[in-house]
Amino acid sequence: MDVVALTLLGMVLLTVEHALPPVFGTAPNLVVPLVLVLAWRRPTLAGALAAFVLGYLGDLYAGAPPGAGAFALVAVFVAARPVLAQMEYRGLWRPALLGAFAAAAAVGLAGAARWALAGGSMVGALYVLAPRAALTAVCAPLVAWLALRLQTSLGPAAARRDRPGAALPGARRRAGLDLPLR
Amino acid sequence: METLARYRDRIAFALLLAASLALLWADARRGAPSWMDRAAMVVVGPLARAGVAVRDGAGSLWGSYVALRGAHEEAKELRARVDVLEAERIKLKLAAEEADRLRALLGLREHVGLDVVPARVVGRERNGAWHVLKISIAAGEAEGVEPGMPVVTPDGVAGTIAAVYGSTADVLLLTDPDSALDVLVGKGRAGGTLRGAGIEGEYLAVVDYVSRAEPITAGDLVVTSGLAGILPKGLAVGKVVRAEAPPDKLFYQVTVAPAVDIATVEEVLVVKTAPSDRALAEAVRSAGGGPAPKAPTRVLK
Repeated sequence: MDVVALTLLGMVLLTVEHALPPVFGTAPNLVVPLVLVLAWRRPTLAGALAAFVLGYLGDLYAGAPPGAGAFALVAVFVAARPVLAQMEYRGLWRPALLGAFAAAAAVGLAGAARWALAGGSMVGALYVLAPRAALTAVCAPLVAWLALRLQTSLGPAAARRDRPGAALPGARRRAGLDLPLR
Repeated sequence: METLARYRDRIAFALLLAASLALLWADARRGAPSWMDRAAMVVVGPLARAGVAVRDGAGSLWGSYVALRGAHEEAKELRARVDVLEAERIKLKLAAEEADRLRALLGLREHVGLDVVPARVVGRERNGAWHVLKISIAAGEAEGVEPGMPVVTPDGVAGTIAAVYGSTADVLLLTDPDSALDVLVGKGRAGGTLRGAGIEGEYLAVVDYVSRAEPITAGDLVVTSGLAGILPKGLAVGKVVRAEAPPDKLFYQVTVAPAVDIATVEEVLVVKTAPSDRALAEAVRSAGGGPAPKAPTRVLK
């Protein structure tokens, strides 16, 4: 339920992102902080599928060859899981810094995928990398707060009760929980 | 089987990554949107259009707000400027009117060809009905002003100096019952002495004992006689308002409205005459039967 709601929120964020007037030729990546929230609170296949859908839709919004965005967001999701198992993705600085880093990584990964498979150029991606990361850092705390509120209110009771990131097997063991592993 | 379950998520993630790259590769090979892309666009298209519409609407609203704020600020500035300009306009209008009056005074000065002292009106003594009884002017001893000297304006004669107080002087107006001036009335130039009517609330003067040899009617001019040489002959004094001639009397009693607007006069000329001229004028008046002037002959210091 919460993953579906977060996916719908992601679609709204995509709409907002593509409606924003460009700053330094680009706009903040509003979906990346949400994917990081998914990686923190729902580090499961459902979360990865949500990242995939949002990446795919993001490509369609941007009019880019579909697939590169999906690849980038799934990769960010997968890479962020072990990192976020060790920390909380909330507050001001962590969402901002991790969001900026993840946005830069997403730009780089999507650019590289397009360059490798669709004959695209990396120049455009490199050109917008820094401003997109900076703009994402500005917006990430708000998006993360919004996504967390939604996830907390709709997520399963166990997820709300557990320490964030407890869904990861290692974290469950460290927390001393005996919830069944999936 | 247990191993597979342990790595299920990792395998699923890997498959998702591979699927993404496969989508990209297939799209690049195909060069056209797939059925899946077209289906997704059914959802994405309206959302994207709605987002752009909201953005444009918000931008337009913001632009209108900014423009409105700008217009408001501009209106405030313009209103302030209008106030300043209006004040300047009034100031210039008053200056222009003053310049006109001074020009007229200058013209009069050249016309009468006498030694005159220009002066501003600096005070008006009024009665309870706000009727001007006396005016004060900013000319006095330093300018050589003395009691009895005639005071004129471009419109005509206003009165005579009543008293001098250092740098100012009081003027005895034509409408004051104590004033007296030798005049000629009507087309027949009948002589007489004009004195203030002393009627409450009205600026009027009267000329008694005017010969009935020639008819006098309302609207006839009253001018200075030029007797005694204090003032040139023919300076405007006023206009006849009514001329009464009772059957049993040999003379007209003429009521005159002064040519000078006593209530609003602002600048005057004091005609500097020699004391001997003024004495002669008094003698002429006495000989003519007119009332003796009660103009003060002292200089207050």
